[in-house]
Amino acid sequence: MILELLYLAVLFIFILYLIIQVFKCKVTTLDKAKIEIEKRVQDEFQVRSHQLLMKRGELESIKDPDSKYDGMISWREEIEQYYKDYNAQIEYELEQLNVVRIKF
Amino acid sequence: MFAGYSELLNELNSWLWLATIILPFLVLLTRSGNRSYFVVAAVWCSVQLLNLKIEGFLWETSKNNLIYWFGTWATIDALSIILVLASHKTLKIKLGFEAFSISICIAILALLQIGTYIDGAVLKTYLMKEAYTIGVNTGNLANALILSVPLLSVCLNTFKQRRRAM
Repeated sequence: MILELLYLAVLFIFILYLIIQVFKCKVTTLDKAKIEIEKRVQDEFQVRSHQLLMKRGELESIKDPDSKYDGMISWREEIEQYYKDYNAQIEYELEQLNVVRIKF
Repeated sequence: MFAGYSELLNELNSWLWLATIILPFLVLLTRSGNRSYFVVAAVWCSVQLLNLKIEGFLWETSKNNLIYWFGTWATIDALSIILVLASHKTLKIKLGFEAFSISICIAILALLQIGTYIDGAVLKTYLMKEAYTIGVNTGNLANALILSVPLLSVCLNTFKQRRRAM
């Protein structure tokens, strides 16, 4: 009986270890690097995104509808440009990562 | 308590192995699965066929000592997870949704086997008797359903495309 229980205890611990391994295998090293890059780019773009949010607040307080409309249009263009730059930066950083990977 | 559900599961379970084998072929025909899917499908199909092959023999052997019954199933489950992980590491691919879900499901089934043995043979409380039957059958059904996910997503996409075209 002791041997049986010992075997089951070892098997139980081993299955728990396998569950941890399954969770680890779900994300590859490259995925982790991508997440890190996205975090870094987000930090770099933090000031710009904050400025855009502040501008939105200022536009909301404008009372003249024509000026508000024009402001909103230009704000929307700025937002689109922001996302373009943001995605381009991530792509650039990922390319750099690939260069590093090939090099080493 | 779950008599109707248990009966339904038992009926389904006798046909489940067939569905488990057919589903990957259908996914292959529709080209909707990735490498991770086929790895886990191959492992799960092998486990199902092995189950069918050894179930009778194992039942006869384990009449005197239930450790052979529960221990063997738990060991087979653990080995199948190892096989899934090792194949993914060898092929250098990451676990997809299906592989991840089926691996976790198999791990839960293995823990259920261990728990039921401890409950029935060591503590002799027999609290998990019903949970074991329902749990194992539900696990098998869940794995078969997970194997059909790529097919379901293809069907859903086709339906959406046709709806847009109309």
